[in-house]
Amino acid sequence: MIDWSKAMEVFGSGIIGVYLIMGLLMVLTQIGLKVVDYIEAWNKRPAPEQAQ
Amino acid sequence: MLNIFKELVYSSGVVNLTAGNIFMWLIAFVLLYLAIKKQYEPLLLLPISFGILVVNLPLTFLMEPEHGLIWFFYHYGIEMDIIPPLIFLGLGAMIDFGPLIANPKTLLLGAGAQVGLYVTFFAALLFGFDLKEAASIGIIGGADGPTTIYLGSKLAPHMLGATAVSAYAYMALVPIIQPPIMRLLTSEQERKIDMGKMRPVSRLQKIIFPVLTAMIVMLLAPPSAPLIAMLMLGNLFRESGVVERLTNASSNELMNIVTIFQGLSVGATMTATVFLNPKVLFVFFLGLFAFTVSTATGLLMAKFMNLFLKNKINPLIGAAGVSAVPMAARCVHKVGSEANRRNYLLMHAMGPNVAGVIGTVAAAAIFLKNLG
Repeated sequence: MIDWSKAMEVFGSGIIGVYLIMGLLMVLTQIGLKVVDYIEAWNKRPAPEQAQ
Repeated sequence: MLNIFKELVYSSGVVNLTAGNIFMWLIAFVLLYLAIKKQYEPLLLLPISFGILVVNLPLTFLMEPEHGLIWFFYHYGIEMDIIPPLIFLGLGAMIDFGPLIANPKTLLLGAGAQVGLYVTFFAALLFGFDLKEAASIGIIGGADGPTTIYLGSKLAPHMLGATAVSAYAYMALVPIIQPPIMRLLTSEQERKIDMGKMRPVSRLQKIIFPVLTAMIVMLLAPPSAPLIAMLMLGNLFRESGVVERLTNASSNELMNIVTIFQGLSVGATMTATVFLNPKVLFVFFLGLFAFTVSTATGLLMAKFMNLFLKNKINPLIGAAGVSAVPMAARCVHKVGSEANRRNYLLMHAMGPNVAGVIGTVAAAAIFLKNLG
């Protein structure tokens, strides 16, 4: 006998859970990339004496 | 003399042969043919088919608990969760997450394809499978062999052979299964969408990604730890560029060794008594359903995203959200270039393709959390 309430729980929590994990990973990856871009741009900036 | 002959005959496997054994040989021969002649996933199908053949030779006791040679491979490799994570280590060392990092939105396409997996879970329940069996069938839609084996060995070990062979067989059939679904669910105009060039990804970004992903996914879904930890470790080996020997060992020697044991062990679970059961055979039909629905939900997710995006994505790349790396991405590229010759979608499709690997592991972890 199938426990349909458990089945619905697995179904719903599965779909929401996967989107939650991947969505959060997407947001944090984008933030991480922006931070790295900023750090790399900072490191590439010309030194003050070279700029003069 | 006659007695010796009689004893020899009675102690041989010949007199203990059943029709079921012979039927399983035929299945093994078909898989051997597909592996050798057609080269469908030969690295896996060849040891699997040989495993099926030898375990269906009576009195060999290769899968006899505590005694059989292949039982030891199966027990220590699969049941104790050693082999699938080691395969993921090698996979991580081979995968380039660059296309995914260049376009993190494609992570959502990896999630979109997993919806098909839950639809199949529900369908399997309607066909009379219990919750654990339905979950191990649904995961076939993720098109990820090691994850299918990892989940199947925990939730429904009696169906492991069928779910694993089904996953690998359909992965090999990606170029046949996916294109009709892609054409059915997209218009010519959509297939022509040119996604342009990808943004460059720096070495530092590639190094940070596996560390960040391992932390996030394992914090949110702890049962994913064995697979995600090893996948991201392998990728960190690759991207760090300082442990070339470990990268090579993971992606070549180690990967090849564990592939042999995995294939043989999975094939050896397919004894006639276990496999020749209508319910188990029905797994192959549901596996195809899982694969089809996952492809469709990935495509539909891409179309849904396009409603909100300024720079439209080619919805075909959603189909690569099922793992099957890199065949699904190649398939997307082929169908895309048929619509627009100048359309180069391969690298764009690699993003959702590798996101699908992460998504399938997350889905498996959630199944384990709920049902394990």
